[in-house]
Amino acid sequence: MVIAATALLTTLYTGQHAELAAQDRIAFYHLASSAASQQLRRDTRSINLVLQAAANTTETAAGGFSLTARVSAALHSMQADLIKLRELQEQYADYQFSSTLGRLTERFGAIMHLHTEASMDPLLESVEAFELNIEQLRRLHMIAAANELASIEAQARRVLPNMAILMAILIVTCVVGWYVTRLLRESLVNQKRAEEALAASVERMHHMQKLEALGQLVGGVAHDFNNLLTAILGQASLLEDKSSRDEPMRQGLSEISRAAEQAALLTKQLLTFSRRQPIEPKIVDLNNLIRDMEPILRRLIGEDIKLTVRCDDTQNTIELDPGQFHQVILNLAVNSRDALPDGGEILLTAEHVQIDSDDHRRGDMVNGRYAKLAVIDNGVGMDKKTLDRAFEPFFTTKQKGRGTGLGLATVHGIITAANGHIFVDSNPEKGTCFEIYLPSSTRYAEKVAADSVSELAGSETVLVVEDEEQIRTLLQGGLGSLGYRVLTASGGTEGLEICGSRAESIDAIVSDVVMPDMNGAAFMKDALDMRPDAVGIYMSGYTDDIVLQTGVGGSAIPLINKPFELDELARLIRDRLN
Amino acid sequence: MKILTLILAMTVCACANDDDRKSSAPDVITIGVLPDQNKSDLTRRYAPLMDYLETETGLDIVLSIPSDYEEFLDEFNAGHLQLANFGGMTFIQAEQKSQAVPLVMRDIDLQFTSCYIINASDGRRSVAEFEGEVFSFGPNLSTSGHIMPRYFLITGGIVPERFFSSVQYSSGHDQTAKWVSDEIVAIGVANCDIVQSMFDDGRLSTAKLRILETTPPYPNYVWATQASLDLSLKHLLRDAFLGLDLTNPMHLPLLKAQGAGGYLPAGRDDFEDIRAAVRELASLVQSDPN
Repeated sequence: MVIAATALLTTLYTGQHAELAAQDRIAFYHLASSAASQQLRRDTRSINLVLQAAANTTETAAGGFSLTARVSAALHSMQADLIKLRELQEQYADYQFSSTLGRLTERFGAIMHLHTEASMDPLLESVEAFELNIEQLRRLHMIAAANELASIEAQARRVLPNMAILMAILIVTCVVGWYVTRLLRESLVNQKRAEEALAASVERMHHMQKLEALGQLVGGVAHDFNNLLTAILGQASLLEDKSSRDEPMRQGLSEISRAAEQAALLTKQLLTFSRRQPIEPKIVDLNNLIRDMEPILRRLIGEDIKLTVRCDDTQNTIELDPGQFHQVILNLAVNSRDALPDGGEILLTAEHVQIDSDDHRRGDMVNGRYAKLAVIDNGVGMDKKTLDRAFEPFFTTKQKGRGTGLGLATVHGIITAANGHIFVDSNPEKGTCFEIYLPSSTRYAEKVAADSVSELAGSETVLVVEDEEQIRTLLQGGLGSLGYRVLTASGGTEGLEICGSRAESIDAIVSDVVMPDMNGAAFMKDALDMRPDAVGIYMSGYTDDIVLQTGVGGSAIPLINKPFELDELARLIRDRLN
Repeated sequence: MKILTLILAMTVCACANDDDRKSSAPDVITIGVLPDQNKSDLTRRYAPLMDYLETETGLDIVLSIPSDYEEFLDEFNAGHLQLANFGGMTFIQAEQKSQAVPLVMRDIDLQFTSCYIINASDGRRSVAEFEGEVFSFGPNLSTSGHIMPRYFLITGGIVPERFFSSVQYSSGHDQTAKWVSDEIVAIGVANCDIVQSMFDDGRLSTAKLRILETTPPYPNYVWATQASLDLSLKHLLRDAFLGLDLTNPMHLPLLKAQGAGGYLPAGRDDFEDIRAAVRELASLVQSDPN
């Protein structure tokens, strides 16, 4: 369209320009002819003057010769002027005034004839008529030139607005063309985006359907298997009691029980994946959950891997089963750890985000506020094929015996049950990023207010013995905010000093199990001897085996596993005191 | 026959000059124009020129439009008109009668033409195809409406009174055009300049009338004065006409109304072709009195 408009404009311009040039050329011809006529008129006037002078004087022989010579010279000049006029007419192929010019030539011939006859009066009369004809011819050319020039001006006046209109059309065409092209391009891009989003959505739906089908299958099997295991465990226990004297049989039955318990653990994971595991959702702060788990995670992933935890400062409340969420974080952390056999870095972030519909990458997520958890490593990563099957149960890339293939499947089940979304992005040799989005809850304030006032508050004195300063400070602040008077000690020795030196009553003693100066069990025994009215509670971040080795296992004093929520400890203290 | 007799009469002799006409320099100049169109159109057409001449010469100008060509000639020959716009034929008559002196002419007047006009619905392509039809000249003293077309027809082998079933004479070129467009006559001949101006101003429609043929060029209109008019007045009037300039926006409407690009000085020799045509017609009439 733009090219056609430009071509049209060029053609019109060229045509108009050529026509104007032709008119200009004709105007020039008329002006040149007019100038030649003017010269002829001057020459004619000069011969006229000579003839008039001659008519008024008496000719002498010398005068006659002189007169003849002057007339001949003037006639010669007039002849040259006439030739020039004819040449101009032929050069420009203009015969508009040819009859006038022909008449002039004819009359000039008559003048020449009269001159040779030396008949003065007729010659004078003829020259005067000739002069009039020359003036007519000159004026005709002047008028024709003026006509041509006026025509050129009129045409130029007509052309200029046309050119302006054409230019305006060209500009408008360009602008409209550009705008239409832009709209088309945007439309195509939007269409392509929509198609991609639709394709991704369909793919996700197929994936979800596949996982759903697997979950139903697995859940059904696990449920039946659990019943069988219950029977196996029950029967094994009964047989153990009856065969207390037959040591080999008892050991065999113990092995059966242990294997069955491991199998029960697996079925528990399967039920979690299939979302048939009973869950107890609570209102929790994601930031607190992650901060509480940080020490455990550091021990879990080892010193070769740098762990960075970043939580934003905003309140980030969600509603889910805290125990299950611990399992999510642990599974993802273990996954990242296993992807970093030669060390590396794991980044764990928590933030409060807003999702809107323009974020096509987030697929079917409903717009709104979400708590986002990201676990990112710079490990070996996954190829596309592996990535597509990452959440399938029993799919694992780990060596035989190192993984069950249920870790990520369990994570997927827990997050989906909590109405959350999980995304994974990975590139071989570059690392993996898991992103979890859980809907934000607005019930936090209500829950805290209700718990703190009605159930958890107290005014008793609590001694907290803990070598980790952060935990000590946390518990001092948390329990203090519930109304308790909190005493703190950094180890067993200091704790015993407080028990012996303080005059006021100590109603509860909360102690870590593993401490640098003395173990928790020894401290608790001496402390309760000194303060027999107090109730004791153990805290531990170690596995059951280590706890058992310290002598805590089997005692009547309750143990709370780290990480725990402050609510859990407060509730335990309140229960014990009550 | 009346018309042919008139032509013969014109060629026989020049009438004696009126002795009572003397050289004069009047403060009021009466200008007469040939009544070749209706009076209102002529008044409208000449008004700008009269205003211009008054301004340029400082004279009081009076425009006179006689009712027909004969009255026009009578008025001039009686000395009531100091300056007049003649047709070629009327000029020759005034020249013979009262030595009218040619002053100026329009640029188009040296090569004037007449047009044969027919109804637009008529498909014929030449005058020769109109044998037996009703034909119309203009006024009988009109150069372009009668004398020159008759001359060209006869030299082309068509004697109008024999070739056409009937030959009419209108009072003016505009009436000839109306007769043709109204199909009162099948074919007519008129002044091309006037026909074109009627097309231009809408008085004629190309849907009703078309130009069939055009005659060869010949000299026509001329502004002429009384021979007795003061020479300085002649020069004053001539210079006023010659001063009209197409490139001057003030002069443009006037020149357009006159159908002129400008004015030229005119001489007696310019009408020699018409004189020759009249002589030729007279000799034809003499050799063929029927």
